[in-house]
Order: sequence, then C-alpha cells, then structure tokens
Amino acid sequence: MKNRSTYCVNRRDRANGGWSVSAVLALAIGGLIPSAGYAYTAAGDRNFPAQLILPQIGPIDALWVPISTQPFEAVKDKDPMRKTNFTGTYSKLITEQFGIQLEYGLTHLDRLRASPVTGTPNFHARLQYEPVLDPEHEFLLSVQVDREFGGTGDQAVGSDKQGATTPGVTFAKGLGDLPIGYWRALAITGFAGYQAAEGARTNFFQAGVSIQYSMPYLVSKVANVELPPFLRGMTPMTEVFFTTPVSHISGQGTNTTLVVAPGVSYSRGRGWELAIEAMIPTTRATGSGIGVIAQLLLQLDYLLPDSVVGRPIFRPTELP
Amino acid sequence: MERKLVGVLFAIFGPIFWAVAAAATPAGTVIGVSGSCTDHGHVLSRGDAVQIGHTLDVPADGNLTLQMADGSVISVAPGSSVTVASYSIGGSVRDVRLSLMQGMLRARVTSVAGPSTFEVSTAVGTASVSSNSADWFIKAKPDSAQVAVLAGTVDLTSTETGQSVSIPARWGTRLETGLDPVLPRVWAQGEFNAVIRLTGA
Repeated sequence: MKNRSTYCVNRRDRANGGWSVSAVLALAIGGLIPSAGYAYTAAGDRNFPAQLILPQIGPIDALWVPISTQPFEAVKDKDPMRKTNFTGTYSKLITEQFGIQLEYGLTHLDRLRASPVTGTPNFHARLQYEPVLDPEHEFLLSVQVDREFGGTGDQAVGSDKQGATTPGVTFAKGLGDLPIGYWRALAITGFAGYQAAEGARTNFFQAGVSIQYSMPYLVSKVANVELPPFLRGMTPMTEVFFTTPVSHISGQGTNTTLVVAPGVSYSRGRGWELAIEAMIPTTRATGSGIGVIAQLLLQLDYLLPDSVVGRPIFRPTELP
Repeated sequence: MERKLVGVLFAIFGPIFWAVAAAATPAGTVIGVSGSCTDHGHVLSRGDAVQIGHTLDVPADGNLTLQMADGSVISVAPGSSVTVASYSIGGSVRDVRLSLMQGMLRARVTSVAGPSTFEVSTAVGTASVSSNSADWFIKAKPDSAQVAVLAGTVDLTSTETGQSVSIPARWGTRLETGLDPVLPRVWAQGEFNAVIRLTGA
C-alpha cells in the first residue's frame, strides 16, 4: 500500500519536473542489464550453472528469482540514486528443445531528495530453441527472441511505453574434451543480440561472455581433489555484459554500458541453485558504484519430475 | 528319552535346515531369454529359477528378463554379468543387493509396505533406490557407471569418495573411478529409448 501511494505521488512529480535526461537514460540502459536473471542447462556431463547477467543458454523447466541492487549517480533532485530489482521468471519447456519464459517483477528506486518509488518493469516473454547440442564436446547453441511488452510496466520506474524485440543467440562450451588437465573444468558462454525497439526508443546491440570454473566438474570428471563439501558445489564465474546504442540519441553522447560481474554459484545437484555476483559498472550509464545480484533457481524438472510443470508439454514417444 | 533326543536334534539341525531352505529359495524366475544366457555355466531357459549367490552371464547377442520374488522385474542387456548377492523378502521388508560388473540392466522395482533396500553395486559405486518403487537403468564398466531413472528416485554413491547424488525421474548421471558422481541432468526421451531397446524390455 505504501508503495502504491508513493508510486502515485512520484508519477505526478515526474510529470511536473522529472529526472535529468541522463538519469533517465542511465536507468533505461541499466534496465537492459541485470534486471533479468537467467537459468542453466547441460551438455553431456557438463552442467552449466545459472547465469545472472547473461541470458540462459538453453530452454528448461525452472523458476528463478534474482534480486539486484545498483547505485546510480544522481545529478538533480528526484534522480534515482539506487535501483533495486526483484524479478521472477517462469520457464517452461514446450518440447525438449523449445521453451518459453515469462518474466515480471518489481523495481524500487531510491531518489535524491525525494521519496522512493516502487513499480513494475515491463513484462517480458521469451521463446528459445536449442538446435545444437553436442554432449561429447560439451557444446550447445540456442536461438531466442525476447519480447518486451511496452506499457505493461510503470513509467515511474523507467519502464518504457514502447516495446522492444530482441532476437539473439547464445552458446556454451565446456573445455572438458580438451587435454588441458585441471583447466578442463573451465567453460565459457556467450550471447549476442539486437534489441529492436519501437517508437522513440533506441535500438541496442547487446553482447556478453562468461567464464566459469566448475568445482563439481573438477571433482567428478577431472581429479579427486580434497575439498570441503561446501566447496565441491561451487562454481566461481565472471560475466561481462555490454550494450551499445545502434541508433545514436542526439545530445546524449555515448551511453554504452559494460558491467563486469564476478561471483560464485553453488549447486549440489539437489534441484536448486544459489548464486551471487558483484556488478562492477565500467561506464556512467551502467552505474556509479558496485552493485550486487543474487539469484535462487528452482529446477522444477528435478523437484516435480512427474508433474506437468516438470516435463515438456509435448514429448517424443516413450518405448514401453 | 526319545522325545528329548528328537528335541535336541531339532534344536541343532532345525536352524541349519531353515538356512539351507532359505538359501535354496529362488530369488527369481526367468521369464524371458534369448541367446545363450548362463547361470554358473548352465544355459538358462524360460521358467528356470535363479538362486541367491548365482552369477548370470548374458552374451553379446542375448537378453534376459527375470521376475523376482518380490514382483520386481529385472531386464539384463547383452554383454552383461550380474550377481544376485542377496535377495531377501521377509514379510514387508526387502533387502536386495545385486552386483553388476559390466553391462547394463533395467530394474522395475515394485513397492513394499515396509523398509526396503534395493541396490546395485558396480566397480566404482553403488546405486540404491530411495523411493518406494522405481523404474531405472544402470550401466557398468570397469571404470565407470551410468544411472538413468524413468520413475522413482535413485541415489548413486561413489565408492572411493563417498559422495552421492540423488537422481529423480527422467534424470541421469555418470560416475567415474575415484571421483564424485557427476551432477545429474535431464535425459532426453531419445536417450531413454536407446537404453530401453538395449535391455529388450
């Protein structure tokens, strides 16, 4: 209730004065980055952990809930000083290789010399198809289309009236098939996409990579290393995500974003996964200080394997 | 005097007779066989009993299906060697221990009312059913084991490290010599169909 009244007040405030253009731009671009957490999948004996910044690398039956907070530079009154996102994504397999994700959430803005405001970001729906899965080489590739439905969120927290469509491609490669000793536990993932916006919104090119060192892979595929049980489930990882406008907005200068997110993921193969990363902004548009993102992922196909939420809607025929 | 003697003899030999009878109780019966499957060198035919302690060998061109004493069905793939180390069904309690040194089997494990142990040991680890019933596969090689679960839940534990993973329905994983089990992953239907074909079930 408090949030709703605050939101109403601030919508009026915004209409009367509003934020500085740079703050709006920073917020809008910032919204491209960590608002969504993403999931995981596997290729052969390689389980890729959930990613927090980059899109998921393959379709899955899962539910994940990331929460992130990032400070921004406030130039004038009511500019956002900190943006906190709480997002929920439900991911459902339609077939074994094709799935849909539905994403919604809440955004909370702390503002300079103004009361905070809470509202919803725009609703996202995402289709993803995995045409390439090479278990032997621990490689997979997916294509996806993300649709942001404009006007479904609150403009008070920076949600656009116009929507956007982002086709993209993701890949993941484990190095377990290479003769490189302990480095076999390494894996890399990547994403590239193009956000085609409607109306006055800027189009963006997006790209990112992650590098991860899987302790579960190390102790199950490489060597019997003496590690405490807690460390056996850890995957240190660093994600890097980059966006740059393709159509330049007059008078705004560069508004490229680049966030570097080192962190760690924890999973013991029990149907859940927990991860946390620092978000280190490298441009003003990305943020003004180090943020944090944490994510809990529930593998519905593990926890509810016999229910409709835990298996693809359409499956190949099972032999008797 | 005679009655006392009979009583003493019964007390001495009764347990032995009971133990022999229990040992001779078949663990299961052959309900399907192809190729020259053997039990201690004896070529198996449909209807033959399988005893506790016996090792069953299935040639590369054979298949073997057993109906066990508790109603469970075990299908053994070509090129497999299975030992029935223990198959105890007492009232509502079940204690089953099989050994699979090479090859693959499918175990459709029925539910029992009481406590149940149903495990298959391999050279690298042990798989144990942790649900009331299960339908699952285990493949063994000298240096690895692979488990896939169609229904129920199966735990796979590494002999060397003692680490284990729990595998739910439609998931599977692997275990290699001296290492932890790999984190389980979802198995595609095509993977299940391949092992169903191999076990001839």
